[in-house]
Amino acid sequence: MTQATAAQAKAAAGDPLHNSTGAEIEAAMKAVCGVVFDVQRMSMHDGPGMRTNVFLKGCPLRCGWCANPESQLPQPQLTLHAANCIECGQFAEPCTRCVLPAPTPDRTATLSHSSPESLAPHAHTPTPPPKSSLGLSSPHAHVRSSARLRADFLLGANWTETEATARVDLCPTGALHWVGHWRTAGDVMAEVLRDRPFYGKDGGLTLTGGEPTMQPAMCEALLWLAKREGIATAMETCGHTQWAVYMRLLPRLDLLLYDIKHIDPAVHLQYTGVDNSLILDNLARLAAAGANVRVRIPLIPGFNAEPQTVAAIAEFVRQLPGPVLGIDLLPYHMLGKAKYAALGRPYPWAGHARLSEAEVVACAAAVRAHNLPVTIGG
Amino acid sequence: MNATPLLKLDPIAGFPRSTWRTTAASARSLAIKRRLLATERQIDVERARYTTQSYQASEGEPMPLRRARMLLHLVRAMSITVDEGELIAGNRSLLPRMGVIAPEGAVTWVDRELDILPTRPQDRFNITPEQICELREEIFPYWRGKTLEDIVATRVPPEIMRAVRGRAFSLNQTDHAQGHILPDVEKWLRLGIGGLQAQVEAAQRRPEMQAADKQVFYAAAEIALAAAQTLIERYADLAAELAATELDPQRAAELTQMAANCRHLAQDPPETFYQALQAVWFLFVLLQIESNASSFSPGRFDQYMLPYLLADLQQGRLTQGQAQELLEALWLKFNEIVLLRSSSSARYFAGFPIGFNVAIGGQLSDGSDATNLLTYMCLRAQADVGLTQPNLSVRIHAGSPQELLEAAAFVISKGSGMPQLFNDEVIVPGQVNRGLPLEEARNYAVVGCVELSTPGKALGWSDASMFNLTRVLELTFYGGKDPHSGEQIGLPTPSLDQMAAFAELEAAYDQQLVYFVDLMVRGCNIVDGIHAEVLPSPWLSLFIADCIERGTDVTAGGARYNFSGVQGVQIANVADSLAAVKQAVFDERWLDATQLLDALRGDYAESEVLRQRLIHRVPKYGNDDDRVDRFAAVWGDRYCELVEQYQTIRGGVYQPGFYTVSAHVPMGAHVGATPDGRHAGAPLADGGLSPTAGRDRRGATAVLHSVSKLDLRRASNGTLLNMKFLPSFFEGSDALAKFAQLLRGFCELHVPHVQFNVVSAETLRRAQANPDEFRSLVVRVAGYSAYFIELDKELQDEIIRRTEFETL
Repeated sequence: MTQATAAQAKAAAGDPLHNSTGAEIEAAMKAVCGVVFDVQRMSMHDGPGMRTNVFLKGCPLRCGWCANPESQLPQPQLTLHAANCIECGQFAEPCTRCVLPAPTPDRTATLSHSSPESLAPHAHTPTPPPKSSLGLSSPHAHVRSSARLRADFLLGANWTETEATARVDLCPTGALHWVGHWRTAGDVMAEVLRDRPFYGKDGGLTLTGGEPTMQPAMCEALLWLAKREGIATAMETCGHTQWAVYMRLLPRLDLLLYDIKHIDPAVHLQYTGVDNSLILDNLARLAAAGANVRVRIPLIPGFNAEPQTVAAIAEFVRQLPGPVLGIDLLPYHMLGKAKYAALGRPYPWAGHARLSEAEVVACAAAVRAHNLPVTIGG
Repeated sequence: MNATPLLKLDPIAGFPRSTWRTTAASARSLAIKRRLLATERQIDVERARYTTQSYQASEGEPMPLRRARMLLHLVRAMSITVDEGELIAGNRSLLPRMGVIAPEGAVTWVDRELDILPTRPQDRFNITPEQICELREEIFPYWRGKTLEDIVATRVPPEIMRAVRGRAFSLNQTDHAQGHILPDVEKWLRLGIGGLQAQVEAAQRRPEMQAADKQVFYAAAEIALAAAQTLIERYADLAAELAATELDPQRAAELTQMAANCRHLAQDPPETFYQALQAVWFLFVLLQIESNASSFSPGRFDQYMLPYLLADLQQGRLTQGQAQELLEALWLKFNEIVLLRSSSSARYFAGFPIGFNVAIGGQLSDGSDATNLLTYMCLRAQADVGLTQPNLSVRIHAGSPQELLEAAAFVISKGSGMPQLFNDEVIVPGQVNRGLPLEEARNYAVVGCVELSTPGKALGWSDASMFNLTRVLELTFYGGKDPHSGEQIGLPTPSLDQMAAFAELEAAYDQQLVYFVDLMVRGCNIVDGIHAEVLPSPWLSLFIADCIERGTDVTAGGARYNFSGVQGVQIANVADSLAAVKQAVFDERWLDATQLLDALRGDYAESEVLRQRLIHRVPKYGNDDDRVDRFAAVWGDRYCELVEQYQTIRGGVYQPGFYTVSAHVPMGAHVGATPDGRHAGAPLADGGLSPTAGRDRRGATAVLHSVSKLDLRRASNGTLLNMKFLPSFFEGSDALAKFAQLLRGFCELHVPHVQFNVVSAETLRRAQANPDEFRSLVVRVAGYSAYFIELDKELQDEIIRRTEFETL
């Protein structure tokens, strides 16, 4: 058994690294793997100070307004940003499947890893094939230069991982690429530490996603390593996870940015795919435990962006067994829209316009009426 | 007013946080600003006419005397005016923003461009047929063969010209006086004309100074001082005249005060803040009349002006509000002088950067923080006035107050591209490394755009040359030959397709650099020597130690510290190209060298797939990726090492810099396609140390990390890093504090300089379409600000493309 799996076994057994030396624990923590789909440095709106956001893949919710639809599935996904395709003509697929007569630039296709073993802790990012495959001109004359890869070609393709990776490697522009890579916590932390000169006393690491608690071992490892380096930590969470996960992460979390989307369980279920009882229950437990929590309400037109709904959330927050630091209102933005188009999916929130300033201000007033501090934006 | 409470005020009282979003320039200042922006630029022929008259009359005399007599004749003969509402008098031409022709520098290019001045792509000026006629028939004929430009053309030997024509480097300052200096403003304020006369007289009488050339120096100095007196007295007379006929009693009183100020300054040093401001402006007007050059910079204005301000405030002579309006009057004045450049020079330095660089903040000579009341007032002036001059620079260090950083961040967020930031933590050790005493190093200020120098003691010649590192790499790929003409421009070394290992490429590149740096330095020294012959500067020499003590003109080596600055251009393209060749040709071997050279020669016409691979599948500088950043570090440091071993002819060493202002566009125009995926003739990376536009994908902190991998202490002539932010970056309650944190990191990473453009691409596109609506839109073009609508289309497009650090 490797060090990493040993550590995980201990962690899973509720015995986090008991009897190990500091160096052993550190090595074990660094070896923990997770699926990371972005590390975004210099983030300004995800906790105090300047922060590095680590985006962990996978989310239990399916909100129609989701700004990161590519984050929802837990495994790495093959993605084609057709707008970046230069029609290089290198792909050898049969024309009937890969040639799109009237190319639409903003389409993207997604191929998920279907094999369950790729989700195992030590699965790795697919490795590139031998470099000899990288021809510079089209090996197949029948693929005309005007051809564009079409999204359903990828969706329909039943490639093995190796086959998919070969194509990723062949793509000159990166239009075809993996969203999500298996990375070790040590590797991610090395990147996070680069920006230590910019963190000051407040800034630091923010875990986000997706829903980071979908990868509890990775979260724990990153938080542990951050605290070992004396870096402030925060986590953005949708709240829909087992209480035990928060129990595990709380000791090394300086701040939780905790989404409450709606109070009505039926509406919540309808719009996010899950009932909110676990979410509200967890928040109450966190408040009782005295955790540093900022409640975040994404203000979504057509879902919750009216004062009564926001007031109901504020009322719930006010009655919690302990105080929260405040409520952040995050007004709906359309930035996810382009990603849906790129994923070849219809944008579920297409019918809704951005909120007016007056609407946002009215919601903020509803929070203030409950004597809670409120900010607009992160 | 009761002055005592002011003494207890925190410096931030100069620009209290609660007023940041509400201050504005006075109605008077706004009217002057509007007038300035509406002024169409005209050509001035007076400078050329009277200079010619004076030179004709002084044939045969020693050049320093001829230059001093020229100055005297100019200030006697030139037309002067005091504009409506002005509080500070003086200009070097009748109207603001006139294009002044100094024929002693050059007439050939001026003659060539006279007819296209109103229509050329960059920096246009109106000119009348009468002016063209006078210049062509009465002025230019006298100068043929006598100008700096003509003499340089006859003296630079063919092997250096071959390298210049082959675009390995440029020789600058070949058609006008070179400026680029920090005069001793503090001394001017302390001594005034009378005090300087006494100093010159005393120096002149010393027995060891009786040689003819020394006596010529002092005689010239006396004439220059007489000229200064004449000009200031003329303004005193004019203001008094205007006051006598002014109907508005308030304006009459202002003009009377102006006349009194000038009358006083014609002999004595200033006693009040108002007089000191007027004195500062006269100093720079006279420097411009004498030299017509870029970048005479006021330097540490907040330090030497503070005593005058505090005395006035304490004694109740002035309220802080009045002081602010007077300060902003000077801020407006800095925008009245522009430099007429040739079309080619205007491409290198677009948008009239005249280089009135004011450096505020930083440290005192003992290392303690120097931020004061005036520091904040200068920031407010920039927020209120928001024009391209002065080029406002804030020095920061580990001990800079948080309030200063946040106030600077606020002014940056207003989008004028200023202030730019300079980092004492790396610059001061860099100056010490060049042999300056620590106290002197801590007193550095900024010349022109981003060049570093010592106030009142140094001639830095900071814009001697731009060395095209990218072009030399291109020549190296082809064995020292131009890929198209086949001309052997560099040393004959193996071409890329003859190399078996990456180390051979590095060895060849090194040989070529050694060869071209040597040629560059020889060329620069020749130009430097010709300046001493034909453009001695008696007025300027009064304000640079130790010219008076030694009886030696500043152009001839009179300064205590002498340097020459040569810029390496452009490290991003070199690093990206080397990383591409190493990975594709030598490591992974998916590209054959012959194939690559063919693709480059053909500008990737048949190999777009390859070009895309080279762009997207090879790491790029600016992403904190050691695989490519190491080439920036290795070759940046090597360039520094090569340059700093050479001496200037004035004593002192050559010092490297990494900045280009707008020169990355013309310098790229002569470089073929490069292995970083850049097309032939496309602009190089901008700024100096910035990544190639669009290639940095990991945000500002990653860029700062990439840049910090070079040993930038050695780039003591100055560096430039551009970053562009969208306005949304500054939204949100903590945005300024977070921006200040970015500046702290910049400080800690020892990056010497950074400047921020806050603008949206959409705004810029709208400005392109409707220039009239955007007349006051100020854009950072690398090291200085320009009016966006005054830039040519190519440069506008380039600015729009630059990476936007959009934060969501």
